[in-house]
Amino acid sequence: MNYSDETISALAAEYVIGTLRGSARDRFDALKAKNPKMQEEVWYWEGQLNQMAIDMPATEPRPELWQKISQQLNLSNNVVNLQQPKAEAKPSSSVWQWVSSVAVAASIVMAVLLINSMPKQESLITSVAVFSNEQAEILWSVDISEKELTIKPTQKLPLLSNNDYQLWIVPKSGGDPISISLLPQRGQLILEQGLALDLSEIAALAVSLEPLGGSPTGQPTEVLFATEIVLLSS
Amino acid sequence: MEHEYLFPLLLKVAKSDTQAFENLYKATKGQMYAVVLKMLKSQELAEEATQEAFVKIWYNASSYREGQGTVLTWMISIARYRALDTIRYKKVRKEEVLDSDYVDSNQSMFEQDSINQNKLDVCMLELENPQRQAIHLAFFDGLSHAEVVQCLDTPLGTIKSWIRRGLQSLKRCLAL
Repeated sequence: MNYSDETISALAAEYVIGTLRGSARDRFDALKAKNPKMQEEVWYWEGQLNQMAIDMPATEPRPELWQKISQQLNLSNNVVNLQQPKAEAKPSSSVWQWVSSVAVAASIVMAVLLINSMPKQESLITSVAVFSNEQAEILWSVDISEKELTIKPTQKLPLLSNNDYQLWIVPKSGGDPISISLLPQRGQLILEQGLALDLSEIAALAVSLEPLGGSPTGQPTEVLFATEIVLLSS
Repeated sequence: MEHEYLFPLLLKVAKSDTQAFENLYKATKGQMYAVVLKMLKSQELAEEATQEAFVKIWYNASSYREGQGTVLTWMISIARYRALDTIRYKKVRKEEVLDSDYVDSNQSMFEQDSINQNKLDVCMLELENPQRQAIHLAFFDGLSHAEVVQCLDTPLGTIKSWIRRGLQSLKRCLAL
């Protein structure tokens, strides 16, 4: 059946405001899945009419709601969920060039030095990494235990007021770097990683320079540092 | 503009960035929840619909295209459709008494925001009063044609005509 533009627009508008109901709504759902013009008309009305909802006064849900969402998605605050990446991995040459640079070698040496001075912690640290600058000054130390990953900046870290540092995992597969978190410039950050983080799949960690709030593209904007993770002997 | 803040976040959510998802949630939860609470009139059902909407956003972040409106209007679409599903399958307002409070609350909410009018606001104000009221009741409160009939005490044919013609006028005005 052919629908006139006027009919398509009327159906799409009533679909969006919600007065198209029941089996008529189901039929329209099926039709728009096969008809790009109908789908576009729905998007048009969504973009227009939902502006009315933006003007509504906000109402805060109970704090438990976030817990329910993060539980359903198997997330929690700062959890790294690497085993089920949603996006297709693509090669990213710039980070790989960094990973293979001398900065990595320098970091490994510094990591070994750092191990001796680490205090004992309740959760056994199994691996470590450090990020250092070209002068071999340590900027962040990373402690990885079976339960969590702790990142601490040092006094040598240049403080940024108009940018953020962001931490990434560079997968061994050669795929795109995976964002872990923005990095603190002061104070430590603890990421609960659980068993999701498989160290054998990680080629390196990298830190990028980003606009405030983090990478706008989902990929590192400017890679500053990269380092390998060093496995401690048991 | 909220879109300039939310769009980069959504791009990161599409890459499974949990921190970006939490930030997106924090930035939009009040609006998302307000929309579905007004439709469902139940804290429990509204939280459930909001939860389902955010779960869907997590899994579908990469499907957003800028041609679909702003990030927030796209997210609100997802939340509203969840709420409409709830109304349909849980029959949430079956025994609820509808009264003129619906009309009054929508009207005052709309007028309060007239300082920051965009083109949609201007075009909505150009509609005839009954058309605007009927569209508001359907949109904000998730009312069906039959429920708008009950609310405005007007025959079904008239309500359908108000909504249909109101939306046609709105599109003409928005295209100018």
